[in-house]
Amino acid sequence: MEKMKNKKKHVKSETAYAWVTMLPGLLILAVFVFWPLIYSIPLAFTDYSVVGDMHFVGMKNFRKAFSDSDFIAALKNSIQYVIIVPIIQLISLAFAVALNQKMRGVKVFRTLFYFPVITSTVAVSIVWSWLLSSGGLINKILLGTNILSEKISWLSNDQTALWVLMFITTWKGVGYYMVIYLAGLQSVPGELTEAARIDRASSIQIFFKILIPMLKPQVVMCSLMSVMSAIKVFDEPFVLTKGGPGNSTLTASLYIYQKGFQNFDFGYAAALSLILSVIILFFSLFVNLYNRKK
Amino acid sequence: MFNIKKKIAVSAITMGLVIGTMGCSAAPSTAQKTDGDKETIEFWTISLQPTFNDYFGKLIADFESANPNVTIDWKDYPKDTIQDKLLTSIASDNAPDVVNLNADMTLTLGDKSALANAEEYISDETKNSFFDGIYGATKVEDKALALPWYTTIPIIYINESLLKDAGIPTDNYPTTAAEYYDWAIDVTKKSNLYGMAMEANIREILGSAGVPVFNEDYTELLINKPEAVEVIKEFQKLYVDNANPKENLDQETRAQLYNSKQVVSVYSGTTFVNKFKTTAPDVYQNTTVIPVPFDHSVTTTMYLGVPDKSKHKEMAFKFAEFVSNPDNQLEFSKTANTIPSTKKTIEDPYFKESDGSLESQIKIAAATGLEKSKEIPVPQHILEKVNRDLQDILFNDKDVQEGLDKIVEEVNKQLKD
Amino acid sequence: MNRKIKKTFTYLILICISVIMVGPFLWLLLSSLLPNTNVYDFPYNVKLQSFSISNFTGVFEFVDFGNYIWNTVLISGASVFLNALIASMTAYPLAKLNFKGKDILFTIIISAMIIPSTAAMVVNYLTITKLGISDSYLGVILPTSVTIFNIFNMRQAFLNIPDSIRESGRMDGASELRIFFSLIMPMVKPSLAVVVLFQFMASWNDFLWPMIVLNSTSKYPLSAALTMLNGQFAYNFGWVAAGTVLSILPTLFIFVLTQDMFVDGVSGANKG
Repeated sequence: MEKMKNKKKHVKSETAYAWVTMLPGLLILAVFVFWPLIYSIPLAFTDYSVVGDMHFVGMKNFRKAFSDSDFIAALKNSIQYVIIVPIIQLISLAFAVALNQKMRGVKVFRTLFYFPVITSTVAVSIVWSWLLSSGGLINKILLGTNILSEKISWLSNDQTALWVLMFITTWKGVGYYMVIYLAGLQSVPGELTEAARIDRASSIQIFFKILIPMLKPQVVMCSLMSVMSAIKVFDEPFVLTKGGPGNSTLTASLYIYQKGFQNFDFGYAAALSLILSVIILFFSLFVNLYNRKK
Repeated sequence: MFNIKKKIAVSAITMGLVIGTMGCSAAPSTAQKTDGDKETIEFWTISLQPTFNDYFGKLIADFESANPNVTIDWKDYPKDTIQDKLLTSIASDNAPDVVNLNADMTLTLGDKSALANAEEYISDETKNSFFDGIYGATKVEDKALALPWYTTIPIIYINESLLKDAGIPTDNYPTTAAEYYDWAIDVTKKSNLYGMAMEANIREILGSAGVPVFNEDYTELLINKPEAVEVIKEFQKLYVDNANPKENLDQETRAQLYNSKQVVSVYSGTTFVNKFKTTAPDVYQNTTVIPVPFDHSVTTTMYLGVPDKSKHKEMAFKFAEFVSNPDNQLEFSKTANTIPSTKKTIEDPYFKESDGSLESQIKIAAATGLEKSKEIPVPQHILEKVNRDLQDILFNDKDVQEGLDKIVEEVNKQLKD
Repeated sequence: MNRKIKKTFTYLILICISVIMVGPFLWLLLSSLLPNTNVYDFPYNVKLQSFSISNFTGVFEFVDFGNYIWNTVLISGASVFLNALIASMTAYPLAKLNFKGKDILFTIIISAMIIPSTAAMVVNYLTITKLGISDSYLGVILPTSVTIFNIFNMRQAFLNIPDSIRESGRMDGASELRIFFSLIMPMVKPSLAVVVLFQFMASWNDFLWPMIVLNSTSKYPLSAALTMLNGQFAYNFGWVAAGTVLSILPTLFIFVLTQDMFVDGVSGANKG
């Protein structure tokens, strides 16, 4: 009896302690993250433009969205962007494993691999748009080594533009996830890999059968984040192509931004955001399910 | 159990209190604006600080001494953020009083009734001081949305050393659109570089030929009418022969191409010279300019608008009139190498003088273009969409009439909302 | 022999990848150190004398650099500190303590990552104004003084710590606070380092929100001040390059500093 009483007391005081500790964080999230989200839900049913008068318009924005060919194209592009997720994750994992070793200059390499992450998007745009222009370095190299017979305007060709943007996002992102995986690898005991090597396991086997499973929490978290960022991608199309040529690089977030901040159609933008979030939710559940299966 | 409920309740109440305070109007900002009898006018410009601190210092001092109860609070923002800033200011009931806007922004804001009608506040003298085309460009339904300020006029920049290398004569430059296109194609063939760089921008392509983009009250897009189609078809030919790069030719890209000597001539405004003066001094040395060989020069004018939610509209317009008056515009043109929007100013001998520099050449070439100037504002989101789709048609050699019809259909639908 | 070839091969690949990763930045660096040279005209005709730091001194004079760096240090420093503290405080109960509604709360928090919000900026600005902290650094820092990502990260780190630590701490009679700061926090150093690094970077590069909140340009952080270099009239590519290089350096510095924290080379190290 005494023991049970103590246990109850123990659980009770944990709750109080828990909420008090979480209060500052939860408060800030409530005010600056959740409040805007909640606020934008009713907004989707209005024609709010900030600068003008606001009227209730019912389902008009949603009906408009489904017959908006640009929005549909934007959704397709955003979903296509998800293709980079497995690629980025595998490459970052590989980098993290490769650079987790004791070897000369490994710290230098880590720093160098991380560079694209710290280069601001503006700097990235200046450099890459020059490199990729029809007279830029990339074309010069490809023409010189005879891989190409004719110059390609990588960012102005509707067949290549989106793929090029995806490449740039990958380039910019691998260092980011590499760092997270590096941190995760610290809690993988060295003895495991030692033992595997003694058993003559190849590096590839170690990579896929030991390291990835041990990093599962990080892999899940990074995959989830990566999927959400891919669908919500904004910076690269905004800075490099503004959605063109045609609507081949128009992504959902970019379109929503244009509707909101150029057209001042915040009501419509809010409706589009809601539709986008349903899609993101769907993808997140998918990743979650996949995680449970494995 | 009870404790948990209590804790949740406390948290909820606290959150509620915080959210509740948001309902209370603290509004300290309005109090700051009127300090006793003194009126403060908030004046926003785009990317003019700190370059022109001296000019505006004097301008503001002059106005304040003529209007002792007024203080001008001058703020400056980059082009990308000024709209966001305007949005949040209006939303928090803290609108500025005079805002520097380009024509497209003016139209978009006017469409949402966010700008005060200048016609109600300014004198007839002021109304007549501007070039009709420029002043009228931002008039919608007899409401003048803003006052014209400084403008840039397009001209053609030519890198003569590239012509010499290709054995092309550097006299006898083209004077009509057809001549220019032929010249560009010829240059491309002989030099193996791009003959020209002009953006696939519906405003400039049609505007230069004098073909309208919109109908009078902006309810219908007219770019698929026969005359427009013809102009665009001619422009499409430039891509077939690779005379105009198949790239998104915003000013930054055109600068890059010109600086890296991949293009022989560039269509751009009078401030384009700043993009290569220090970055590519060798190109600067070899550049000459000619007026645009088109029927019209499509100007890019900066305007001064007064938000409808400003609390000092009268004084705001008085200040806007002052900034855009002929004398002050002359001073600004001299300082910034821009072109004025006031008729009297362009008659000043300054615009015919030359000190041999490229800047003088630019000034003179541009000034001659002012007579045939046209300002063609297009709401931003529509311009963006049309140009995106136009790029697709032009770069990929698609059927012009079909492509334009599709654009018109989609945009007209949007406009009806 | 085999081993040596393998090693050289590995190094070669790593160097190639490094070139791809760093190349663009190197071009920017080169551009900033070569004033009066047309950096778009490849290849360059440069002599040793062409190199100079005049772009950097130019930027320093044009833009009151010292002031802006100080502003940014303040803002980023505060943001990093608050995030490290508050995210940990919020994540710890979610990982380790037992209370009703724990899972629901966590799901709610995570779900916010799903919904994009364009109106967020406008709404948050209204909130800041009503709280009376617009045009202040508090207004800039407060909305992102804790982020969901950081909470996520720290929770993950705490989950990896065995419960026995807490038990033994309690048995030694230590208070919860003491256990938290002296025992548990040191154990999550790698994740803390990640939070510090990422938050610093986000804070340092953020220019839009500070520009919205702050009214006086003298309070701007560096990234906002650099936008002044990129207008129609004040365009000098060399300065833009120099400014960009300067703004990258601090994050680089922090990365080098924190590298030791998240890879301590003791556990999990493979032999090459």
